[in-house]
Amino acid sequence: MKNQSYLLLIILSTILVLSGCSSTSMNYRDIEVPPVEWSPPEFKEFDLPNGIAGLIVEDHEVPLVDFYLSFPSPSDPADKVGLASMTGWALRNGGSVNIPADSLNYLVEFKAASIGVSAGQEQLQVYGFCLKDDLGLLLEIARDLIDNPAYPEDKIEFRRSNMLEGIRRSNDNPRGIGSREIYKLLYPDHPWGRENSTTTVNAISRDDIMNYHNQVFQTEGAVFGVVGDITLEEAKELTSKHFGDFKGGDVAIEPLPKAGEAAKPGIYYAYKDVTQAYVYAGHRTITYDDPRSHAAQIMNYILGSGMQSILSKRIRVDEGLAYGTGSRFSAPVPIEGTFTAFASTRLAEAGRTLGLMNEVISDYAENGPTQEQFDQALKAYVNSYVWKYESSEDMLYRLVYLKWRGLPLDSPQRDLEAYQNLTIEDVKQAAKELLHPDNMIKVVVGDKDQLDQPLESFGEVIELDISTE
Amino acid sequence: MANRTFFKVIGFALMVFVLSASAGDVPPLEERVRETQLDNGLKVVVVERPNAPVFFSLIAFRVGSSIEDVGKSGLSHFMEHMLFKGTETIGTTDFSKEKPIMEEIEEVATSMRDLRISLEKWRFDIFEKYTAEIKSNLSPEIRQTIQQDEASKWKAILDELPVYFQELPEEMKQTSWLLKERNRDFWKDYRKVLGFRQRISELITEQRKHIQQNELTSIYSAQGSQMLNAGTGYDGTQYMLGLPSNNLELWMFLEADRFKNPVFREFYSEREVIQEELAMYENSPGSFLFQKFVQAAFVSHPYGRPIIGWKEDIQLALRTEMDNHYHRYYGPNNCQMTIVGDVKAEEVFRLAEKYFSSWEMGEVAHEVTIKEEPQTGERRIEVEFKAEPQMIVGWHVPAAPHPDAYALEIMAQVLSSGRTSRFYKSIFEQQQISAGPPRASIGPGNRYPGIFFVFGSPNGAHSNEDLEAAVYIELEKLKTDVVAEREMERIFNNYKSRQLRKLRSNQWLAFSLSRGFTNTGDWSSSIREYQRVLEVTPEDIKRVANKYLTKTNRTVAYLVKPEEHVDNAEPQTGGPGL
Repeated sequence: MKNQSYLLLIILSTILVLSGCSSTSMNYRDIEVPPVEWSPPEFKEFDLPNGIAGLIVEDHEVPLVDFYLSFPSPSDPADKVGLASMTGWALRNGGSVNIPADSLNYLVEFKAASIGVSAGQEQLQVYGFCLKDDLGLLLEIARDLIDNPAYPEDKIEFRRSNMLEGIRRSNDNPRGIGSREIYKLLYPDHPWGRENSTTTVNAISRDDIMNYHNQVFQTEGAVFGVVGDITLEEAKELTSKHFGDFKGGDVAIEPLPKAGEAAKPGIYYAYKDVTQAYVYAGHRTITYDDPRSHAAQIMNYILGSGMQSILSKRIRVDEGLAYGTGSRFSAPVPIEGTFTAFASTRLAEAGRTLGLMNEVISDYAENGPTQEQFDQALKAYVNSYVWKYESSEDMLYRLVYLKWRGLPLDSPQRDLEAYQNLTIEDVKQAAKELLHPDNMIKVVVGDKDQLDQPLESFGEVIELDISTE
Repeated sequence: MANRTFFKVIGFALMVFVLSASAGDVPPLEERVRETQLDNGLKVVVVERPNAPVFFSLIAFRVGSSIEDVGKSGLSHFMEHMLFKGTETIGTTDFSKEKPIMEEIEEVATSMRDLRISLEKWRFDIFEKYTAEIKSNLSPEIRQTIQQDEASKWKAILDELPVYFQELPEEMKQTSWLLKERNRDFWKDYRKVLGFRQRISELITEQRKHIQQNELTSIYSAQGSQMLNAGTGYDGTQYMLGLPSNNLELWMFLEADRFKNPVFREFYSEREVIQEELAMYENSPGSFLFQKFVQAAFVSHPYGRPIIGWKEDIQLALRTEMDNHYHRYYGPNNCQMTIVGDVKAEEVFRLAEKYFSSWEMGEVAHEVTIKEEPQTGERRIEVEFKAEPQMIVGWHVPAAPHPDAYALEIMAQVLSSGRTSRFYKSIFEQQQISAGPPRASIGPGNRYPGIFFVFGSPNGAHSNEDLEAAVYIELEKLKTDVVAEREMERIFNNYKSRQLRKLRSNQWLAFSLSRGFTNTGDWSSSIREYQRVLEVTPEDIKRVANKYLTKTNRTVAYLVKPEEHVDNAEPQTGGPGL
């Protein structure tokens, strides 16, 4: 059992140092920002009898409890994209052989509880929220669903028709089109770039679902987390009772495949009859363990995160070209992440916006931030760390993620130290090495005939087929 | 049912809002709220919740889009953008240098607005068309320069004008001839418009030499802020921010300055940003349909107007009008400050007195006295949009504290809250008519009588008409049969547990107390309303269903695909709208 109460002391002294007042004239800098002493909520680790890792954050403010049960999961086969999502839905909504779906819904909702299953690329999660006295019931239901799932054909078909309906409607919102299409181009032929289609959804059978189910539910790599009005003893007792003898399958889960090459840089275009153009530009980046990943986050914060960022200042505040603009840099654990910049703008200024976006990124890649920008960003990053401990629920959720990922549970603290040790040179280097303005995939959604300058003036234009047929 | 007793306990405890199972009862929320009022009318409301060293703050005004004068719509939302632009000391290196430039900008902008009004919209639209046309034909070299400098864009267009006129497409020559009626000199006016734009751009460039852009945002984010934002509704406006708790005094200082001495710099470039925000809503089929729906449902009450304002009003807005709006309504006597988190109430009161007591009172934000005329028959509209169909159907209903409002609230939950709700089970799951479960709700505001509405999308095998019919069948059941006790109990259990869940969050607590203020002027109304909802009976639901869900009182809006335009097609007769 480990505690973690040393963590916040570091953070709070940082606030003091960074917010220390310098006295000039009568202005906001004269206001004292005193230090505070505070210990973060504790968490505890425990093991279930079958080896499943357990985590708990106690918080007795209100008589509620949330739990998460995470399992590593394989990604969908290329010809059956949608399998995980369909399985997760049908598990929860199909009920078990002991409790039909309707009875399950009435029972859970009468108790003002909720139970759910979410299934994504690498993780399947069974979760529940309830009044403290109902946790045992919810765990019992969860175990029953895992051991005795019903997966009734009618529910599977119902979900299939809903997914097909979603595909039919997937081009209704222009924003969604751009972000979807750029991901497809950044990760071609990889689970992260795949979208379900009528064909892949129709290819999923009940046998596929059962196989997936039997493979995913196993003790290897599973994590149980609980937060709220519950003690460690109660948590141990309830989890032992309901999951202590759980065994499940033992076929190893395929890790997420490595990502191949991204599509070639260029201008990709999808027609949509709307009054704005939605412009996305990006490329692939690095993984979390790259030594530059912390510098990269600060680098991107300055470039495109929030109102004070350079993209927002140039495109929104100075030129009034867009309401929404910014950028995102991800450095995920399993495979290389992405850098993407975004703006939505009126058609008659879309060319100018795209040109400006390019120019801002190129200029920043070359010169990096100013000292002032760097200082502001670092302060913002370090001082806002306290929010990670504001809510017990968020804290537990993050711990479950770290445990499932196999990362140290004190990763947030290690990250903080890494940020604190950054220099402006690190960030300049990250900008120079990790931004590739000349090799970006650009996606434009809108009506190119109404643009202020031909899209072709930015390079060869490749039309995207976004039809849902 | 073994757990029923437990729930009764919760039911009681919820009135008191917080129950700690192990440590005995914590005082009820209304007892945890500490409040004071300054002499200038500012209300200060505090809940001490020292769970983590942070606090969440809301500064709310009882000034929303409903209060705006005709022709001035959107000013409250615009204000939200402007109150991030700084003050006489924040956001500037020397305000005394900015001031004369701002005055000159205002003169030019006013002249341009006057010209624009006298030209009428259709002529002005032709100008915009020319501008776009010329701009798209500029040489790459010129384009490179104008990327850097907005003023040069207008100059480049002015320079291109004579050349352009020589090569004017035939269609445009005809329009330009039309423009000469009333003895107007079209080209002279057009040159004037471009000249005004060029001048404003030059002046803004000049002013920016003295502006510290986004300084307020930078200060707050460097201190570790979270959720620095604001929200405008029909009934009120909320300025929100979370900070580490050691920044309380800094927050007081900056916010007092922000609301006492705001400077609406960069007003005209922000006007462009707001038009992009508007375009974003209009390009989303759901929000576009909802806007057109309320517009049809409310003929006299301002709930029918978009919160963001009419496009034309935004385009004509002047900074001086913003000044007037500010001086009229944004005083302490229309304001409540709500702080929830790791603070001491006494300290909050002391600092509020220190920094906010010199804030001068404004006009008391008046109530919207205009009432929606009773509907005299069903209203039905189509909204054309290239997307799959959606529909909204709604009925005029009273607002709390009218006793029927609470029954309507519970009725919405019976229909659409959870997998066991009636819409989910019947329309979505059993009959499989809709793309997702239809949702019932009440809106678009809470302060004045609103609309009880149902929002849904038919799936590919069904039409809006099928979905509408299925919704009515469910509503008819509410008129003839009372809701079963057990169903009511489930709804109440969930209602209570949702409230309980909100208590775990500084933000939710603050929003709840703040919304009580914007709706009624009194934070405690949110607690009273919660209690009233729990008193609703099945008979109440049956009664309000019969009273309000009538055809006469109903408005229906369909999102439909525009008809395809086929070349040489005969003009349609008897189509929609005829």
